Amino acid sequence: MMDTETDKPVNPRVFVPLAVIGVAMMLWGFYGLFSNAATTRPGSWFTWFLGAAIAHDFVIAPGVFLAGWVTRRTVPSHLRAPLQAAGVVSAIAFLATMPLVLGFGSSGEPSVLGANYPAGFLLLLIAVWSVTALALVRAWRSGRSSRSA
Amino acid sequence: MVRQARQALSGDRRPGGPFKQDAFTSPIHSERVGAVLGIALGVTFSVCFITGLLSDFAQNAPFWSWWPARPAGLFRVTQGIHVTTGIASIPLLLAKLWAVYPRFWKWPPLDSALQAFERLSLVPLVAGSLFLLFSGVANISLWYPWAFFFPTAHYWAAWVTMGAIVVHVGAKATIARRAIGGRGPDAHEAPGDGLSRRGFLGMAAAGAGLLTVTFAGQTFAPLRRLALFSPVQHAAGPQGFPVFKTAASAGVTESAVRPGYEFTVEGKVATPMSLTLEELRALPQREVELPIACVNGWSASVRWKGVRLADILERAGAPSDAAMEILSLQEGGLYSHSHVNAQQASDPATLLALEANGSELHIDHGYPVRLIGPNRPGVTNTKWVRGVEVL
Repeated sequence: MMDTETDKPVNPRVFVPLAVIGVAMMLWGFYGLFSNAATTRPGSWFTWFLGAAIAHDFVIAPGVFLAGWVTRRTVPSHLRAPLQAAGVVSAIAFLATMPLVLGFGSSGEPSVLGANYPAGFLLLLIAVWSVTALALVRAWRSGRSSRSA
Repeated sequence: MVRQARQALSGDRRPGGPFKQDAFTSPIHSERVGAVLGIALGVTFSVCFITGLLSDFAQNAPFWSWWPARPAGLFRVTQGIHVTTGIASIPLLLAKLWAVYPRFWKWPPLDSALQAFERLSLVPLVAGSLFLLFSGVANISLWYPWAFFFPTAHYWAAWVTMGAIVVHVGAKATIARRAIGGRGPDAHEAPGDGLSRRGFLGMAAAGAGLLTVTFAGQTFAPLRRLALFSPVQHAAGPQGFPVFKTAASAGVTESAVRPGYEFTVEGKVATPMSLTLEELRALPQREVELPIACVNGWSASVRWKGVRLADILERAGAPSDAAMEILSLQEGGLYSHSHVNAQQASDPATLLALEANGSELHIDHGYPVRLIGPNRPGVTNTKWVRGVEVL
């Protein structure tokens, strides 16, 4: 689907100046990273920096692929879209709130990290899947009427 | 050797699995979806970058410049936007990466030097974007699974990532314009039976909206009831606002309540002074409403009462253009002192606060005396103040 032809249109008059500026910013960033090594700890920094990309490209994205593959084989086509959307939104919300929901952080103060985050996440899931249930009912009805028509 | 490598890479032997041309069938893997999400992320990351630079400037202004005292609520707004926009970017970034994911498995991987450069710049782009959002979320959740100091690591990562974004915009501007204008090779969506492109974009937007609504209440009071994931609980703090660092964790539970407390004014002043708590209370008391706005993104409006810093400086005969360090009873650490520039020091709303929301300062809010000033990041409103050193 993506052939090499689509990669060609790069306008040098746009690309060259922006590439120069962008590379200068990156060099400034790496210079700052290494010249502040006492606080930026480049070893740890690179582990998490590259680790984030590796975790995405080889764990999260293949996981999404697998979930999509399973959905295709198990869910009738007219019900698929709402389920995919709700599943993805739930998963992303979990990733974004995971440190709170699973209690990874800690604080000795009752006004910090004092909420019931798992309950909050459950509430969010209920909201997402209630809307999804309505969409599924509608999709199921319209699927049935289009078949009987 | 380069030619050999090239031949090997561009040969006919296209591997299977995700490298296959039809491995990814969904219509969402299109230029148009990538362009729409790319533009959205360009906006959100730029907003985060600018507000992040402001936050750094507010805390580490170089000697030849100063962070203004007005508008009083500026930092509260910029930092609230920084954190909320970062959180809203999570669904957008993951959706964008999924939309372009087949290109990660493109075969042949490289077919020109320009493309080699462009693909290489994707490493800091993807790694940096994920790193910034991940480290930001972990930081506001008080989770530190790494060895670096978050502010500096996040700051320098932002320069690397933003640089990669600028390169990427240069490389993709033409394609994005073509795709948005509906002139791309896949402008017309092939009928599919899963999520459509529109549905996919709607899903990303819904995810961003959902996270915004459930986080933003930590700083935006009208949404407080929906703030399921606010790291602070406003009502649970003493005197109705949160405490980030307690007296116990700062090691001042004894020194803050010691009977012989004296507030000192020293350094470049005509008459160095020393005032007891009673003497501070006997000075003219002013009342101001100012937000306490944390770099972590939460904020709260508080009614403060205390002595104007400018009044004390005048009594001690400090020059009107003097900058100073506010010193805390907290020993060592980054927050044992804070810098106040001349403009902030002369602002009538900059107080040495003795009361908050109508009652004497709670020890966790900085008893006996804390600094509060307009447009100052929360951590620079030093608690358990023991004195001022005029520079």
